[in-house]
Amino acid sequence: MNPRRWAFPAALAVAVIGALGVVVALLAAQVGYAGLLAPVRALADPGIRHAVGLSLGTATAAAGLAVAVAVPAAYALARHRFPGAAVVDTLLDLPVVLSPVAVGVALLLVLRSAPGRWVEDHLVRFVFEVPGIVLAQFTVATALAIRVLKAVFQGVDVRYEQVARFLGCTPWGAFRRVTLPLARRGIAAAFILAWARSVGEFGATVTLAGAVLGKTETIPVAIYLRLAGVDVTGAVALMLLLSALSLVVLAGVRFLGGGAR
Amino acid sequence: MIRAEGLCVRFGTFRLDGIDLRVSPGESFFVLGPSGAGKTLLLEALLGIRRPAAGRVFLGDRDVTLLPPEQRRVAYVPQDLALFPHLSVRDNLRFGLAARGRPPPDADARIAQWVDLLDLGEVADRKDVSTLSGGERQRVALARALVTEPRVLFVDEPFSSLDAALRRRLQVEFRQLQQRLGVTVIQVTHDPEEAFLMADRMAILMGGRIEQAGRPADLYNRPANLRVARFLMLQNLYSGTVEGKTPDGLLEVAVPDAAVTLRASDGDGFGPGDPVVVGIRPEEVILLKPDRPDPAPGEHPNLVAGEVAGWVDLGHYRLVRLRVGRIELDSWLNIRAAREFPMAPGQTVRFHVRPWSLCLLPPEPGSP
Repeated sequence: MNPRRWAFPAALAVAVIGALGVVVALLAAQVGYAGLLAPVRALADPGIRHAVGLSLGTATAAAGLAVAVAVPAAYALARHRFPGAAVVDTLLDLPVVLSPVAVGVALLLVLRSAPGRWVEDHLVRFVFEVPGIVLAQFTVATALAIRVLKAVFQGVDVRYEQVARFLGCTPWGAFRRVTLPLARRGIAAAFILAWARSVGEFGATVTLAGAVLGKTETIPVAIYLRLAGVDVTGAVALMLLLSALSLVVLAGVRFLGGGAR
Repeated sequence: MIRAEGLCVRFGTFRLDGIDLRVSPGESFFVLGPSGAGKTLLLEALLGIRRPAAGRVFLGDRDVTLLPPEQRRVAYVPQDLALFPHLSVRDNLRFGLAARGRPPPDADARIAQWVDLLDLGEVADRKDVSTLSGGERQRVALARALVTEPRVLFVDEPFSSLDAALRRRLQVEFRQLQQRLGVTVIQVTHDPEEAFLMADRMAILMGGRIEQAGRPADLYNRPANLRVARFLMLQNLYSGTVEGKTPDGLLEVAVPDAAVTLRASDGDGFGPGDPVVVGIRPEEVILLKPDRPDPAPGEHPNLVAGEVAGWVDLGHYRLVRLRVGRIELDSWLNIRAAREFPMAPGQTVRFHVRPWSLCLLPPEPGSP
């Protein structure tokens, strides 16, 4: 056999097996430590049920808000050229690359400024409160959603909108009747990615909303608190729970993205 | 109906400059030009998709230069047709009628009328537009545009993606429909045959400028300059000099490279002594079969003898290359006539060209 013929495919196979091995090792270690039913048993704990409910609720709210902001923002960035567009584009990427803890600290500083204090006193309390979790997740998830949706909208040919305009649609009408339906799958995928990013968010959440037991305790915060209390079994049970939830979400992305025309 | 005055458009380093156009109601107007001439850019500027740097566009008497697309009551069929992939065929057709909320009560009747006119009965109830054939997509896009009863229909190279036979059939059908309904159409193409087949009038766009505008026959017979002549496939171009005028008003033009003097009836603006470029269309060269008796003297003012340099058969005609003195001249021979024409390389043949078949053009720097 000529080694040149199988060396490359073999290298590819090794890479795939290696990457898969890491994931399998991660899951197997968790299952081996705590048992496959540990997440189910963990759900018997009302504190953990609260953490799961809080995580799902805040992540859904944050992802919903993120997509609501990202759709128009990404559409504007995808369709319009304006002076400084590249600067805006780069700035919007910052929350994605910044360490989440740094984002959390920056949010705290904003809320400690005079306008921030006014918002805290008169509108919504964020610091050490549930809305703080949503704000922290939203800040990180929006940047991600804009990035994804800009590519989605660039993928919708502007000709469709132009034709719709000449058929009588206003810019909003063309967006609603043509662009949005054509971007439907992309928007769903952006929501799921924003949701996934939010549900696992720890750094910004714990900095802004704190780790208040039974109040601002999301799943990642709960894992951290278990570890801090040397309850490794409890932490691993939660990790498995988070893994299971994440797998469901990733499968959803595949389903929505893979079936796209 | 539609009028452009001094339209200038910039796109990167490309410029459309000083475009003046006037299209009458019911007219089929073509913008014809090679790739990269700025045809789509001009269409987009007339449509208002692209804002012109200068100049104005009028629809009827109204200045619409800055009017948003949805208020113009014109329709646009882009090159890729842009059928909405998320809608069924019928919802595509209905789109324009429902653009401002509820469709009018006669919407279904209007759609049915266009389904009928464009022979879409078999595909009107398809759910997925991607299952349509090229010709069907074409007709759905036209019907979707025409249902809204636009004042002007703008069409961008709609037939370029179809195979030759279907393209020709649809061109003829669309032209007949346009004439029957009296729709005003502005269409862009790089294909001279399509423009000659379908246009009432046309403009030749090259390098961002309109070189010539007029009826197809005028452009065919009297290209304004060498660039237009070459683009309209007038390959036989030779430099010559006007020598004088015959008593019956024909110009005598000497072509020294061929050592002949030709008589031309197209002499506007040229006088004795003027340098000119003589253009002879290959299809206007009439070969005389060698077994024919000599024509009477003076029967053919431009009777020339040449030598067969070679030929190729191109389906329905034969392209024969002749050598006359130092020039080469292409001529087309109908393939049936070619079969009856004994031909051998190096053989001497006689041919003639009618005085009105010659066109005279002003020479340009670097011209033959």
